[in-house]
Amino acid sequence: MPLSHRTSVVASLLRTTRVTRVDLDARLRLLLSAIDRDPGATADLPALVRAAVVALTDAPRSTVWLALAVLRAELPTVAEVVDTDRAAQLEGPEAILLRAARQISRSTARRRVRIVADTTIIDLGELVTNPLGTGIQRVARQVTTQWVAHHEATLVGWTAAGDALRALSPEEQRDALDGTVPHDAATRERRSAEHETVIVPWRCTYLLPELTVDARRCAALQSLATHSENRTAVIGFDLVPVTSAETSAAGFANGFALNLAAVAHFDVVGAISAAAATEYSGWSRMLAGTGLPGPQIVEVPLPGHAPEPTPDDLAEAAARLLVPGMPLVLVVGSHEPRKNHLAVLHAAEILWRRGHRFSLSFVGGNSWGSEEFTARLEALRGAGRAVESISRMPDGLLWAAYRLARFTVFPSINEGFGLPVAESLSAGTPALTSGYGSMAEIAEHGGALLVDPRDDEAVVEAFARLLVDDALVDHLVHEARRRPPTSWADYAERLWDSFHAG
Amino acid sequence: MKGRPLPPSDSEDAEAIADATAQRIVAAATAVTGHPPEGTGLAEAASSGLQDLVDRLRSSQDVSLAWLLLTAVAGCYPQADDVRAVRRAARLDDGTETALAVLDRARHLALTHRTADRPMRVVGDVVVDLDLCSRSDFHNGIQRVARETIRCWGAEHEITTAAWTDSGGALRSMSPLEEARARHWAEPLLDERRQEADDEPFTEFDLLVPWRTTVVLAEVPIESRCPQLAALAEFSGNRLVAIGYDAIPLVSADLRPEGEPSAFAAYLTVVKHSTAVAGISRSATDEFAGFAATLPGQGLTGPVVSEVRLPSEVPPAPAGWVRTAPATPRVLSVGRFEPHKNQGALLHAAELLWREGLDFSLDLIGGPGWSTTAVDAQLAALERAGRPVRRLGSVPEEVLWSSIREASFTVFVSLHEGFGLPVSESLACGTPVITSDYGSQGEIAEGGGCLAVDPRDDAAVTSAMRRLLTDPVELDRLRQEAIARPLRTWKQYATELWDVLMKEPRPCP
Repeated sequence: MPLSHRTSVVASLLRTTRVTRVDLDARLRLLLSAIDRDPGATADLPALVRAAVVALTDAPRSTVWLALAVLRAELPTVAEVVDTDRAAQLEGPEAILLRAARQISRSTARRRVRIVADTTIIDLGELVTNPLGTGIQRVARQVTTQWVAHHEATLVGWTAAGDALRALSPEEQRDALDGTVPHDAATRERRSAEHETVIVPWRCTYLLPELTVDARRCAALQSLATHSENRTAVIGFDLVPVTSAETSAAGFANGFALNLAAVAHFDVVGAISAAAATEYSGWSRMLAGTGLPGPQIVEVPLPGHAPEPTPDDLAEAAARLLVPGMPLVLVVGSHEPRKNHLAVLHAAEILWRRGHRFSLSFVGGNSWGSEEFTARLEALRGAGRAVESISRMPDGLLWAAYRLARFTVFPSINEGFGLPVAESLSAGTPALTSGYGSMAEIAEHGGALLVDPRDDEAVVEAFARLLVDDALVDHLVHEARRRPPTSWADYAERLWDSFHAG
Repeated sequence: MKGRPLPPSDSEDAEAIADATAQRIVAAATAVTGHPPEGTGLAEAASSGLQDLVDRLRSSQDVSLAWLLLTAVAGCYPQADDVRAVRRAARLDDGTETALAVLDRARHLALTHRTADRPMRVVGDVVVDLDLCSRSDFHNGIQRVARETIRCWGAEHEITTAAWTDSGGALRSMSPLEEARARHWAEPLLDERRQEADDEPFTEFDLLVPWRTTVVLAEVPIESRCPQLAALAEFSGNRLVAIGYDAIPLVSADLRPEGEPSAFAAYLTVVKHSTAVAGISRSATDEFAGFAATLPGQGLTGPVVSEVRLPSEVPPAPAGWVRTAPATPRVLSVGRFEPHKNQGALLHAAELLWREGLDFSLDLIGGPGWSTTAVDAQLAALERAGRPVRRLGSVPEEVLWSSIREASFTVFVSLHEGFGLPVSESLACGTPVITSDYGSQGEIAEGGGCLAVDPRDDAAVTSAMRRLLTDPVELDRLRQEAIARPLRTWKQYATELWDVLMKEPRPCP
């Protein structure tokens, strides 16, 4: 390298430090020590640049990824790694330093950087930034709680811009796993600003126990999975947004497809059921045109568990839900079209017209596309039918409700798992559910009556049998009570092993 | 009404709507019963036809009747929730619920699509959806396949070609110009029709209602058509079949513009209720078969997916044309400038080879795609360095073919293709190709004339180009292989496609 060129690189980096106030010395030192080129404590910027240029000569793309991540305090995209690598081939390794420096802004300059090596990184993503009561987040909380209790791991979140993994304060970790503390956006923002220590995983196992559809995060993860020397694993919940797009909000498939583009480069997908594994395997075959082998897909079925309610909860739920002299039929889940709740209302109305007496309670929130359900429910209530919809119910009351119901109804069109079926059966309450996919899997050990959810008549007839056939209900209750118990601890352990094997 | 007359669909001419609705109900009842409904006069016949259809729906619970009823009354196709609502009303019916549900749903549909003033034609022929081919002058990969296919099919079979109403409410008949655009591309008839056509929007169409027949998706329908098509596939009793081009928008979403994955996911809601899909390559077939393999999770089997590989037909070389090797090697790349086409790897390799001192020129043919920023920057750097690289943009057909024939070799190292027409067309011209070693490009390469490389490996791309630039024996060997490849014509393709898509028995009336 001509001396003048190197001098101009140093000058350019000095300008970056002057303009952005970034501590480039510290970042260069960190990078060099990660790739075993400890520069010594006394090295100044020119010496660090000299050492970095030597270290980055003919660097593989994984090192280019690391250099960009550490120097920028930001996870680079695939295109950024490729372009920088090409520039390094044409212009020399200085190009890596120059391109990294050019990308440092005043705000990313303030970030501290920490390389975390040779451990497990658990991404709590949305649990920190957007805590919700969704099934996916419940799983992510439960499994992470188990993991951190039994294994060494670093919990991380994301910067507000979605461009880097960051450290979490103990407070943030606790709240994310607890999930019950109400978070307001201002508090979350303040916390995230206070903890701008970017984590760059190096030779780690990176675990994603939830779903991320944010475009920038997906781009960062795709590059991490493609170019870095980290092992990557993710829980595969379902592919509903792309295999049943008619049942999810318009546009959601965009983010979900970016998630899949990243997962295509992951090492392992832990599918939550055989049905979810079937979906992921089909998608994996769709990768034929990309020349990618796709991740290994392992099936680790979720547990389904409705803990014993307290006597108080049981009494409160009974007062809230039961209509004297009528059996209770319970439907748990939000009212999105995929859950097929219109078919449930239809079946109930046919049976009410036939003279059957029962009350029907829906527990679950409104969602995209639930207007028709709401209108139909109101019409039936207007006609005096014993039907109600409860949008929110504390867990304790829900566990009680499962036990008060004569049976539950869950004829969903497509589910990655079908948690309410598993919960109902674990409470010893029979379930009417769909005869395929994850719902049929859950029913394998008994306790459920299976139907084709697209066949209204089949739903009606099964519903009627569960209302009138006491022997059938007793038999299903007996089967449900004999089901093998499942636990979050077992699930988390099996998943941990699958994610770390290989 | 003052000023310019509005097209009839926007008029408040209740009488026109009433008459057209009566006509549609009579047509639907006639199609179902085999004879016109009784009654003197249109209104009476429509009234008895409607009653007859409702009675049949109530007694048979045949969901296709719910679909047809809604279509006839609304003057457009229903969506799945409309059909389910009417089916459920028919089940609960204590006298008026079916008719009320039909009217309720149909009113909403009619207001959305505003074609209730158009008559409908019940079609028993095979219906081919050629919406984009008829309405626009685009002639990219998909339109080329659709137009060549219909040219062959039109000569052999009775088919009805259809476009969509503007808002995607229903298939409709084509104007003479639209029909020529779809069925007679690049024929003198199209020019004649262009001369005759005025600039008025085409409003005098018939709504087309396929009944007990097969609907062919020769293109990828745009998103607004998909809910109607999905309901048609699931409930109308018609078979719906499709050419499967690729799943790039979903599988390689990172390389495509925002919005495309959603539109493609909407298309997949149609595919999952279809009967058959013919993939244009083994890789495209795998993509659709892979999608079908996800469907047991939702209790569906999906379409039968088979491969009908695209042809490789190119126009003959001009009479008396003899290839003369250029003084310095000429490398050609044909393809739109888009991230997934990976021109970045080609330009990088070219620069490395120029720096090594190799003497060659590089021509790039193809229009700009959705994102050209990266390639623009690379090209600008090469131009600043005075490299012999030319970006020719879109060129006339004859320039395209002569450029391919005269090139030393072509480079097409796309990251993801459904087929890779530039690869097969270069080979059909006898010009060797450096292409990707997987997917459809890898399949084409198996037939000879190609160096196949990993397109994500810059060193591999560079080394393949170096080899063809420095090893005339190898280049000539590939040229002989290319020339020896068997030709596959559009006629062969279209014939096989028809057999594959139509081979299952039609549904019984």
